Amino acid sequence: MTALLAYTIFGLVTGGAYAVVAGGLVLTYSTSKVFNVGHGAIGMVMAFLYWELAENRGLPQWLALLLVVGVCAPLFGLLIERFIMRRLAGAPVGITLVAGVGVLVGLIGAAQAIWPPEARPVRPFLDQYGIHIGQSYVSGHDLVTLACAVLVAGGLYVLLNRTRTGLAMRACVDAPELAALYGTRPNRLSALSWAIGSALAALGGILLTPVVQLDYVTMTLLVITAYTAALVGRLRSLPLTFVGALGLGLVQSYAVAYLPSSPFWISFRAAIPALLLFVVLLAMPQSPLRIGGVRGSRGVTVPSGLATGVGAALFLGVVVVLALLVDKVVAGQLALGLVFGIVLLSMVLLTGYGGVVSLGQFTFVGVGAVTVARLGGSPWTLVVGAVVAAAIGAVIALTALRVSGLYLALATLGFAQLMDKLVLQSPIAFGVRGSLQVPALFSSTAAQLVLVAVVFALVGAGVLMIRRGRLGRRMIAVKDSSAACATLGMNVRWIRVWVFSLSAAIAGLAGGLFAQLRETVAASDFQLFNNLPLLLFAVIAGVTSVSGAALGGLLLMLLPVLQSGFPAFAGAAVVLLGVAAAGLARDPNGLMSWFFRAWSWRRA
Amino acid sequence: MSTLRVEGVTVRFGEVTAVNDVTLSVDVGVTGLIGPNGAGKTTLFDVISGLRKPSAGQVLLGDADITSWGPHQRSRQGVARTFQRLEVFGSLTVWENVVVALESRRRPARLAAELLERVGIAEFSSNQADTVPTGAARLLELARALATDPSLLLLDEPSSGLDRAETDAFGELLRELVGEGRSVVLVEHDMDLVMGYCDVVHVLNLGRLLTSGTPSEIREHAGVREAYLG
Amino acid sequence: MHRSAALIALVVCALLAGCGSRLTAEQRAALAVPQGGGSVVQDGSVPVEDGAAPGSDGTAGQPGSDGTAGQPNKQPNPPGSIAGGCQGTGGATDKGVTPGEITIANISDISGPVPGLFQAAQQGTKAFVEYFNATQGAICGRKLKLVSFDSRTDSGGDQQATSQACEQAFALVGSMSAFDQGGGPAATACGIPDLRASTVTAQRQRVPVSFGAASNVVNLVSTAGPDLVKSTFPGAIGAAAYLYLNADASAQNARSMQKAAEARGIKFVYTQAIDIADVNYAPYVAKLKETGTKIVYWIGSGQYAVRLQQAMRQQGYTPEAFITEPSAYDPQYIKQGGAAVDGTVVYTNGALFEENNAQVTLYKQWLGRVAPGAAPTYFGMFAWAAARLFVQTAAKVGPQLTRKAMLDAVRGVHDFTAEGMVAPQDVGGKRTSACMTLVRLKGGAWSRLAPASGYACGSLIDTGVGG
Repeated sequence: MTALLAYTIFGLVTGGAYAVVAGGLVLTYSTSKVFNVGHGAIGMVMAFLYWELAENRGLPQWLALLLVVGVCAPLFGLLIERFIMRRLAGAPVGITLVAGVGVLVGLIGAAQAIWPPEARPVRPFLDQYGIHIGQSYVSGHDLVTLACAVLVAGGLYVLLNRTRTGLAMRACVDAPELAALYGTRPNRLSALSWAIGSALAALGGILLTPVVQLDYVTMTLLVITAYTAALVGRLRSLPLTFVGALGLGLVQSYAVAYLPSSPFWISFRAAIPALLLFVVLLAMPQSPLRIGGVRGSRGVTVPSGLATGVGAALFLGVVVVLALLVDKVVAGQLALGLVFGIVLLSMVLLTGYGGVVSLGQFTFVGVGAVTVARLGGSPWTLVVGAVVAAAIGAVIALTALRVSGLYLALATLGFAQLMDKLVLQSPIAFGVRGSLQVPALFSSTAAQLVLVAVVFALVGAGVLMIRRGRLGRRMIAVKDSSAACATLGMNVRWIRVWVFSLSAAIAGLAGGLFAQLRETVAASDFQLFNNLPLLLFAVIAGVTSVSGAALGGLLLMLLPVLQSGFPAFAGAAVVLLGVAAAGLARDPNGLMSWFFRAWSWRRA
Repeated sequence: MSTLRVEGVTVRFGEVTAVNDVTLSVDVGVTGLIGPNGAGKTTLFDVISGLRKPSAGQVLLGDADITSWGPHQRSRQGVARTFQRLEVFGSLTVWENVVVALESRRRPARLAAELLERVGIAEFSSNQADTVPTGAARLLELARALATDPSLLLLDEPSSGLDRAETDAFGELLRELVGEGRSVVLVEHDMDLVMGYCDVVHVLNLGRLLTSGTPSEIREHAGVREAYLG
Repeated sequence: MHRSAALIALVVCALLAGCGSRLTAEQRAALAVPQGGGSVVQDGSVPVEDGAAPGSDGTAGQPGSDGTAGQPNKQPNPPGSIAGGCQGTGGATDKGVTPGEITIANISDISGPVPGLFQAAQQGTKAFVEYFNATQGAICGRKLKLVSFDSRTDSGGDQQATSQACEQAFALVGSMSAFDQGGGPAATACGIPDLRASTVTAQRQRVPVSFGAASNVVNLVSTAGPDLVKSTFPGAIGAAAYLYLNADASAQNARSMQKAAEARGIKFVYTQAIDIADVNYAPYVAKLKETGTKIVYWIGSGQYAVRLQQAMRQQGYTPEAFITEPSAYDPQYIKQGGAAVDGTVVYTNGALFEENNAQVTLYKQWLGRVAPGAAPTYFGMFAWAAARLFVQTAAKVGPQLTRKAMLDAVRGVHDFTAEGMVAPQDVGGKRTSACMTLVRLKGGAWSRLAPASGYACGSLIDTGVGG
């Protein structure tokens, strides 16, 4: 009995930390409709700043806390709101997500540049206090965490439900013009919510740091866990979020206590947040078909069949020349860039045309890679890999049919996490040694490059053919108005299942190519985290065009190379990327459309 | 036997009852559905086309109870509609908008040009649909709905954005459609259009069916004058 | 009004952040590798050619060797040189070999999610190369030239760097990467001798050209470790717990080592993997208390070891021993963990930095030159040892230095100690070292726990995990 009590207390403490983080997420979402993927990264940077002040400069803890949470974090939130998020009001989900990813990638880069790795212990709060409950001990810091959670939840509840500002904040999400009736300007409300959200991220980060240690990525991962809590409250209800956070903490604590520690249960335990995320999403009511208002986006001009053929031939010509000229290393890099390009082509179909944002595309790449690795070296295994990925894509589409938009994107994230923990990391995928060897289809890197380029050209031409044809028109019609599509006799859900599987098939094909190019593959190659830069580069380069996919793939390949070769420059580049992403985000046609425009001016 | 019957349909949004126990039927010809803003006309269209499940009541098409059918199933049984707040596919061209609808019912794409000609917006064929004027976009929605060869056509304020001449042409088109044996339900604010072309008119007010009758009966109805015509 | 207040606050923040970065810039400078090295090239993708920047140290520092990589070094080696008396010259006998120079490459994790993860291995290799070129003459007339690559904590990075090194270098020396399976196929394909500081993944351990100076393989565990623990904590072996980070190599090593410990009679009452995303370790501690655990084993990086022990301290739980892997044998670990990690026991099969060892002294001394302020570490020590093994073996092969001859020679190395720097390693046989020492952290300093001197040696158990 005392044991149960102890696990309950620990669960509540963990839940309290989740609650602080999730509360900030919900606040910014419910007032600005931007789901801030970078929330954890803000917390991380602010925790570093806190370390700088409290530990490195010796300020009193309370003063450092006050400066960071009360001054720096809100100001940072204001900056983000002013320069990035404000412009995104009413933008599609994919774009608001990408802005958050940009912030995240930029902040991690900045933190690594400003605070290079070294041991940075951070003292807990009220270390000398604490209470014994039965066998277990609740430290002063735990109590502070719990107290903060309660205060935050209560404070936010009062703010949103009992004050004029709060009511106006909630009103202005759905109808900014209505907020004017409250005598407040929407911009100011949005700024306020970002300031508070950022302060809460900082508070969460600082509270967690003595427990999880100061680190660039851990905090970001923890916040993904907190998404589940935020979803329990449907990203709107603070009390439910609070309940969800505590529940999640309790479940995790009880799981340690009462689940067996065999390998399966170990992976199961790690998958609990993702499982819950899925359950919550599936329990959500059917998203209504959105009615009202013309939506459309000006894509880049779709080339005709002839132009596609000429373009593909030119592209292959250039690649063949490059393959003959460049050395092995560069050829290998280009080939990898084009493989990433094929992954991005799968997103052109899914996101660019279909309007569905996936945060789990790397999972399908992993599935294709595993299949090829398991079945060995014939070119046909590439096709099998694509088929298996397509089947799994159909499964996710079918399970997540009920939800759309942001919820669908989060469902793909949860799905990717589940696949990672339960399948890719288990011996059924990459074997007992954790990695598999894959025979290369060609031993020469130049031949590899040409092979990948041919596949890229074929898939690219295929994607354009789809766009020009019946399925492409349907996909875009569904994106613009699923309600109208339904009244015209289309089964909107089946179209989505089709798009998902087709896109997964392309990603799976890329995965097979990736595997034989790498020659070894392991679960670590398909980490959840990799999905974030993928989406970022897709949007920066242009998620509506084949050339955008090629450019994005090359950039994605170059990023780690630059980070390694020019650490200082890369830090700045990553920050710039983040900002660029946010700036470009309004235009899903990305960098590529700038080139197209420049080209057409020149001709005009 | 009527084409469509709506029996005791009620739609609640939380505390608000948008449609309250409405029963009416639609036969071949033009049926008008009028009422002040917020009377529940568009909500009733959403229920008939399947975009919204009623809180209570039934929708019958011919003999079949279609209350639980999805919108795409109803479309395949001949129900088509346009939207008060436009729902054209903005990223596609005007021509592609119609082709999508044709393909959805496995009809040949070449019919698209004919349909655009028929509603009178052939000149916009290759324009991206989010760039055409509102009136043309409404006619595009009509062409798109016609592309499914519907037996029951629900038109939600089709004439707003049309000038006088265009409205008259639209009226003639309505007659032609009825001549082809289709039922048309018209939600309209343009009383000349309603009174000039409708065979039967239903009046909704605050979610309830106020009265039904021929245009001349409606014109004389005191309650209607009070609630609506003022 | 409030706008100016915001501005002031912004400036305050900027100043705070600015001061921070200035200070850390100094620290960075203190840690930074000097850039003037003509012979040691620090670059991930585009190595600078040695001849382009002559005149500072290493080969280029030798009089008359500027731009003369093609000329053998004719000066006799100093007496007692590692490279021995080999004075013959064999010309350009293989890739990366010229009459006057052997190019070797080091591929280690420098950038990535944990920046500088295995920088110590690269620094250790570099220190040895500097030391050798400056004081030990040449290997059959050839000086050493080191090219450094960054494997970016990513298997793709390792693959890319390996195929690059295949073209540029004769051998890989002192490398260390977390995802070292990536470079395996490339190394096999080009047949490049690969003398690693340590081989992390089971996959790389099976690559025919790869050998670890720390010759451990996952499935072979020495009885020395469990036996030392048994003799040191006799009252506790009935109640041990194995906790490990549920990530890649850690999990496999933990399972294998637990099996071996069980085979030697240590009884485990609790086994648990901790996920990277776990927040609160208190439930694990409660479980440790509940099961009455007296010895806690931990496999996983030091950061997580610190977290676990802080939770243990907080819950007032102190086992008789907290035993972890030698990556914790690092001053950063003490700094991060403070009092909470006091009492940590680390097993190691290398010399103790606190004891007198000639080779360790050399390593520290030259590490200080190439990376001022850097502390000696376990992996750095093995990188140094790997470089030393390379030179010894190359000298033994003689003037006709080829990759194949080198590999044959390495396969014959079975009791390598780097002049007493490390416990005997069966490098050529790829069998885990049978010998071990326990070190304990007490009062912020490491000291020998057992045996009283040297190493305790046992036999190897094949646990069948990851083999």
